Amino acid sequence: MRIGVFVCHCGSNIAATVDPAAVAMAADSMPEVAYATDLMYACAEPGQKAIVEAIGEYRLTGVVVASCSPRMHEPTFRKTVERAGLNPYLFEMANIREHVSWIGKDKEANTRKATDLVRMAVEKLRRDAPLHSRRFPVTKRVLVIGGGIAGIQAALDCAEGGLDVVLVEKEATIGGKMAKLDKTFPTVDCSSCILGPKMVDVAQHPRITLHALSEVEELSGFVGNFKAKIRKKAPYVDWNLCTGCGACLAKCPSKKATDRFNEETGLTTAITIPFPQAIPKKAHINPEFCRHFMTGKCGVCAKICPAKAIRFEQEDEIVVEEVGAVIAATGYDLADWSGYDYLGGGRFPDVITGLQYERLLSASGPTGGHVVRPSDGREPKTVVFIQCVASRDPSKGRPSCSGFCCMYTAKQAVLTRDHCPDSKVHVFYMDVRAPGKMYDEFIRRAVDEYGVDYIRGRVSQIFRKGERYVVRGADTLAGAQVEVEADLVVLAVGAQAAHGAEKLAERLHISYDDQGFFMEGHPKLRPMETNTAGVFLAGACQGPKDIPSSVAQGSGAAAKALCLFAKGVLENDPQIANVRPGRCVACGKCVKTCPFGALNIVEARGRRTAEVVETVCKGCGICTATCPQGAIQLQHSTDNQILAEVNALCRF
Amino acid sequence: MNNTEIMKNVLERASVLLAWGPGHDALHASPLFARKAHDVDKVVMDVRAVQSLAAYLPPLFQSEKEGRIAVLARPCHVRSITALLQEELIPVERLILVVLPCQGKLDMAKVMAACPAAESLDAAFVDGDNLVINADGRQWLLRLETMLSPACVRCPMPELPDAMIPEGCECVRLDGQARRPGEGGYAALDAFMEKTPQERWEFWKQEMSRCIRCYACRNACPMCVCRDHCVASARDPHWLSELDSVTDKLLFQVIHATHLAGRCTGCGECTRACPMGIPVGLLKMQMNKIVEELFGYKAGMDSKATPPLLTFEAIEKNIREKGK
Repeated sequence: MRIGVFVCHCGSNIAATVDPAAVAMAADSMPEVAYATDLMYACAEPGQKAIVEAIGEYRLTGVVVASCSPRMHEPTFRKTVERAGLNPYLFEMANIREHVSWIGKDKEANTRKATDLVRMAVEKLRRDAPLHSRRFPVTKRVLVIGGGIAGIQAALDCAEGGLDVVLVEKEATIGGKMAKLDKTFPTVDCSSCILGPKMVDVAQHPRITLHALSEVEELSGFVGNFKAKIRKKAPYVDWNLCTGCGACLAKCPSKKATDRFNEETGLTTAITIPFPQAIPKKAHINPEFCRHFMTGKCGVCAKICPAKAIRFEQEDEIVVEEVGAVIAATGYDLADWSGYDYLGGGRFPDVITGLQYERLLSASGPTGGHVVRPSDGREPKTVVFIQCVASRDPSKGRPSCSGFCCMYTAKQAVLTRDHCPDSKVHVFYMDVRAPGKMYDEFIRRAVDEYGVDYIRGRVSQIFRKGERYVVRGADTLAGAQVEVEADLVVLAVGAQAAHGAEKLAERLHISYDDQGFFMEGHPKLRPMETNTAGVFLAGACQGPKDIPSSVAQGSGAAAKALCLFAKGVLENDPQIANVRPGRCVACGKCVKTCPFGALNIVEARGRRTAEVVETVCKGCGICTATCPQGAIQLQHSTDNQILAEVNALCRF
Repeated sequence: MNNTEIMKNVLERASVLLAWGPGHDALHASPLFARKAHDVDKVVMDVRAVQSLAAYLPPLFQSEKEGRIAVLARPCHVRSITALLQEELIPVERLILVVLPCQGKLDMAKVMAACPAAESLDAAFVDGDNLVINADGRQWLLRLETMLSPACVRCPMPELPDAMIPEGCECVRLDGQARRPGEGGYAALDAFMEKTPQERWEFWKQEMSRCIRCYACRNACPMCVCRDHCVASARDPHWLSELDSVTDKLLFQVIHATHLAGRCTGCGECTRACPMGIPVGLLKMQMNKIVEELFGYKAGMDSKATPPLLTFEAIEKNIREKGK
């Protein structure tokens, strides 16, 4: 092999604490190195040109670039060497920026370490084999999981772009959290008025198949060729017949069912339609409260239903959908604040969450849009809002800012003054974070035009005083303790990933952070992608987001799916596991440990051996670590390559 | 029926009975592949029968010529066989387990130390609580209890509980008296781990310097199932060099221990087989302890259990990956 080594300065990013010329000089004497030099910016056009020219001039057959993390630029340089006629996998990268120059100041030691990393890359390259991708066809359908605003936007954009869409929603209606909101900041326009038309579009779009009251149980396959197993939970109503007339709701004798849509601010009937604009507008029975399921006697709904749609005997249905891409848009849920004893932890009926307050403000809510205390139904005279509950609180394991609470608190404060003009409104805050377009102006309006009293400080305790509550906290600007007597307290509880998000992440083979939010491919440059090809993210499932950002990411994820399908065929990554049948004893350990089901035992030439399904293998390497006799090797990271790297590093 | 008749009866249903027969002298027994009824008359199954016969099973079952295979096993050997069944390396329907109530196995190193003349003995037999050795015209009486392998002294299970008979496996029990159960646990290991890391490293350097790379430890191990493809003798992947270095020798032991993680049943065959008396089983014992602490799992106790390292769980109960 004739190896070329190119050591990048990365401006001063590397050159400030590493001597690239000295590294190149040391590389010159490494085995099979035919040419070594340093470059100012290897990734820039002149840098890439220099590499291409050197490959021709020195008849190089393999290239090492010592520069930055391969996550960003390995694809760049693979294309560069391919342009010069080499196989793109006869290329290795030594990361002398993140692993060397950025983390140490001793230039001499850094230069030695950079040289060691280059020597490792050279030793690995000497054992590289040319690899070739396989091409395979794709199914041009998209599965969108979650029918909140992000999922709705993603589904509509995909469908408009000509893709068939399968939209799966866990609840009985799409709309998500946005459907529960009364108004939206900073324009204070009606949430359901702007969301409603989009929901109707979903229902009417010929390319969108909606599975409501359904969950994805399993995702198998690979990018372009996934199979999703979806459990459609029994609504106990034949939705093909149900017209959504609501006659059953009016007559249902079980009127004390948990009302999830109204955030448990009220009660509903055992057979129910979540809200008037629900999509699909179909009734479903909650068997936990239905008298027929509890006692076997009742069936009023079945008698009353003009469409004869009630089906008590209905069972869950499993459908399998074949799709080429998946967009996860499972959103968020409010964090569990029951551990906040000093705020009552849920014991006080008039201390409620912001989302519950939205339902009290909403005309479709249990109070018809009248702001009243849940305890006694009286209109509150003083309302206190507390921000940053279960946000920015490292002591409770929730260090991050949920982002949108400052804005919705201001909106709710304004709406409170609108609904009850003689009320007093106080907001306890840490800082006000309002970086969006027209956001800070909105906060100013709340203070200046609506007379909302902002108190900078945290609350230490809420306790009862007769029928009212005393909110005790600090006013850090005045340097004093304050006590406010309130009729109603609204907590801006922070967001965490939706319940069950972690389980879904495992089914989708994507990773998640310690709050359950799905991990994006790159925090800045790949916000819609995951590390699993063909699985994209939209909305708050990736991190707390307000509506505009969720919509933007929904459209972005749709664009990613459309880009993926713009080509009729896909190519696999050839850096996958490969079985050497001569060494395989068919013990089956690899089959048992493969998280992707990419391995089988097959009969070949009269003997049993393991076999890798190339398109399914993700190259994770678990099988290669499991195989005791080393019969499975990860192409491009074989045992011998790793051992050669170790030997290059540990020279005695 | 006495035990010999039971075994003869079993052999009528099997093409071979793996057992122990007379060895090169009266003290030692050798593995015996009994194929005819008269072979069974030669079977030795007292404390002199020390080898685990489980290691023979996976290659033997590969042979199409064999019918059902019967194997004489102590309870500790049954654990190895169960582990092989769990990994589907032997077919349960072709296996007949012949289990003997265990009186322990001799530790030959202890016997030789107590009676150096046993090198050229005339006779050796068990008489009550004693091992009797005749050599050099003299007679030695060695108390059996003090001559047993350390694994037997600890062994909590000299009698096989019914619950441990692998599901769907034909099992024949032989008559006899088992020794009393030991305490189990990891006392020997815990004592060793009291040493500092530096002391332990020095210990292993010292011990491994005697290693002659004969791989008897590997060949005796019932769970070593790579057949002719062991990484110890492979160039691709080339994990071990051919150098006579302590690091290469120790690296093999480390590879062996990791390959046995969650699979080793602690039968002690590796230590028993070592001609240089290196306590290589200690490394596996440490691995077993880690697996037990981490996964609550002991290999070969339940034929239906999934070995923790032979499956994939995104979230392990006792491994904190997400910092929670």
